[in-house]
Amino acid sequence: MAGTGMLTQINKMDVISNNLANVNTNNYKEDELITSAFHDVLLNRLNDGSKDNGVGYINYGVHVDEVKTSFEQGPLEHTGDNLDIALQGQGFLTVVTPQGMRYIRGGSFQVNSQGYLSTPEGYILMGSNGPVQVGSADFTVDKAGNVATANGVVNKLNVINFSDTNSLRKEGNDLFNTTAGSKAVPFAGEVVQGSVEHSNVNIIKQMVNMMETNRNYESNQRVAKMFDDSLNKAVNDVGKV
Amino acid sequence: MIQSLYTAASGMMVQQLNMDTLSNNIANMNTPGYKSQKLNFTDQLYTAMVKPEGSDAVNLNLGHGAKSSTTTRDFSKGDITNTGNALDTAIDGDGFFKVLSRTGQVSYTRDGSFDTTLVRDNAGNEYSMLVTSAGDSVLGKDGQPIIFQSQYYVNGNTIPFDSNKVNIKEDGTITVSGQNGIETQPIAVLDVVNFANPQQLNSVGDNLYQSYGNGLEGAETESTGYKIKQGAIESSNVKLVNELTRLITAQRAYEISSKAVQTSDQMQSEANNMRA
Repeated sequence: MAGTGMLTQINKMDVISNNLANVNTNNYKEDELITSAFHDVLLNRLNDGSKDNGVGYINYGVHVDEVKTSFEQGPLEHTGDNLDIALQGQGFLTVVTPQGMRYIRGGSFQVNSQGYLSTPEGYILMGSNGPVQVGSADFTVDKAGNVATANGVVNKLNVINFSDTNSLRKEGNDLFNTTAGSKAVPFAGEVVQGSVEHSNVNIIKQMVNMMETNRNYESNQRVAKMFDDSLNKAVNDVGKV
Repeated sequence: MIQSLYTAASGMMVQQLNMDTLSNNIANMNTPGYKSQKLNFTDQLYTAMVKPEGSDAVNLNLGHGAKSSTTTRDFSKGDITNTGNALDTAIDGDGFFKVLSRTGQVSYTRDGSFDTTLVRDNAGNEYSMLVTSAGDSVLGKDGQPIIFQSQYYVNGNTIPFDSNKVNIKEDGTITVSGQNGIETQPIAVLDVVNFANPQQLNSVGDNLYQSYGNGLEGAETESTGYKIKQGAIESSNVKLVNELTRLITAQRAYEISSKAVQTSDQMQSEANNMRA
């Protein structure tokens, strides 16, 4: 049981490390590991003679349950760069990747050689009018997501929100993917051009969690050591002459 | 335990790269035509942790740290400062000068601090050629290097070539003036070209950009809407305040990841000491 405790603390530490490594990554959303106990198991007395054998319930330790991502708004920094687009409020921009539609919070985009607005990895932004084609960096995006070039409004960014953000999975490169349970709902926030959203990692919370994880690990290690000592006594010292 | 060590280490390595990019920007604060670079990072791939007792459809993805994805160049305009040199030019607008090196390599630059150099052709005639400070010849709209004769004849007057008497108009037309305000016919027009996606150009040093040859920057087109300013230079567009703020953030992010490394190490040592 102490072993499961230690293993779970390792997983917790992995998640905390990832948060800290991404403390400066724009558009990053903090993860938290939720743990839960194994199912309770009824302990029975052996051959006691009494009718009711049950002693009580015990469980066999703790295991990882879920990684919860916090979609709190990160701080917005105004950069003045036309190609930086961020969102105020919960929601995601839509991009097309070779694996299908994915969702991002925003980023520093580029105009690719065909004039489409794409992420640095080459994933093109989608609008209600198809892929967003701007031609050059001279375009404006208003609060509702309407994209206007010198020819007027050409497209509207596809900004989607999800009712259950727990159904989203991170894929790396700032991308989120939906799963079977994801339901799209309208976006109620604003599109902000010329700003980037910083990581929403709360450093103090992570440091405190890290200290707690470390001490829990240590406590579990002590418990395991005690079991080891008890076993040692039982094996070697009981019945010793 | 090993995973969190590597994850935290990736965070530190990314901040190291960040510091390198920021220091390069600061070192080039006074380089004419320099465009500041920005490092973008993203989170790394996620793998699913194993949950006992079957798997419900919940999120169990664990990230593997941060990585740098791209460096983007900020092509916004730098301040244009007057120098008074007749051959210093700045592009007020979008685009690049097109230059040709002695090896035949075409490059692009925003640095307009030009000069002239003497060349001799096979017949022994001497010309002056317009070159960059690195010695690459500047191309005109006809695709040829810009050459000045040693003297010009206008309406019976002889105008000897003097590099201080070169005129460069706002559209890039080059003429030479002589005494009494006589001016030659247009000798050449400075070629200013632009790309749909200048981010994809390779910067090779000496303030030069080159194409990788994969076409990702888009077709080279003639730039429009620009003005050539003679006697001026475009300074670098590095904003010191932004760079220093980012430097502080990078340092703190580095420090915090190092704390995660230390804690992982400590937990490992506790595991090792279980049977002490």
